[in-house]
Amino acid sequence: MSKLIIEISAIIYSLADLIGFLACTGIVYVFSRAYSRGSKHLIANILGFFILSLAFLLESTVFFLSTYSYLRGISPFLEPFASKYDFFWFVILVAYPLGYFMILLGYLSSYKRFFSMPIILTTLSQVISFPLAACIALIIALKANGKKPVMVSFLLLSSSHILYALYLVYLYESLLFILSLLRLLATSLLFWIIWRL
Amino acid sequence: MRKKYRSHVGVLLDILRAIDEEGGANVTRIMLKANIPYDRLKFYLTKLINEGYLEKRINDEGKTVYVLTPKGVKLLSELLFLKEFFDSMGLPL
Repeated sequence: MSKLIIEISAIIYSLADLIGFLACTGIVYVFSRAYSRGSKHLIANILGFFILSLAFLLESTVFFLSTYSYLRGISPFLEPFASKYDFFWFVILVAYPLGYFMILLGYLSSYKRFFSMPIILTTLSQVISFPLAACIALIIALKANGKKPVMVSFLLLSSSHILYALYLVYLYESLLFILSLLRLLATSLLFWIIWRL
Repeated sequence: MRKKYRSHVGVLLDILRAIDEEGGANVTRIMLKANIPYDRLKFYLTKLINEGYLEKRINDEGKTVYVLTPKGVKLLSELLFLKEFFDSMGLPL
């Protein structure tokens, strides 16, 4: 039964990726037509959907090959995770986030009268940094055996990142003041840990 | 309220649609319907005429009107298709 579920799931996954590839290719085509008519702001969307279509195609191919090998009894399921498929997985790993990121940039830059590109990029980088720093704080909290300064430092850094992102959107001076204090506290804590050594 | 952003293609569509709806329109009518200032409209009209999408005609009242050429009609239908697609994608044309 579990073998049947794996087979059906893999075929559906592969098919879904193939349809995703066709859809993204179609979107790239239509965007390109608008681009050639003068909608130059679409360049990020075109690149994003193109990269996404490549990711879909590669993943579909890898899944198809994997399912084929599995059905023929040549290898266990998802044997493509073995080193000979490393290149494909690496490309997929990079292509999905990059594709989505480009599309997001395209959407944001379409409203460029409202936002400017450096502000968009800075806001995005702050929003991405927030959970990353929070995760580091969480791991330190779980592993540091009661020694809290580094954990607190990363927690403060994480908070300052999200407040910075909010400041860039709402432009409240009080947010800037609070995040500056948090940042100062966070970096001072890190510095103090090194200093006392 | 924030002014709605219109790209180059969005402006083209508004101009062509204004002319098409009137079945040939003079500069003032296009300015009003497409919501575009005179200087900018003159730039677009010149460009569209040079590329064969529009032509100037004199109407029964002796006024200059702009009408779509067959190439212009084709461009309008393509831009309308793109507009519908862009609306569904949540993007301004």
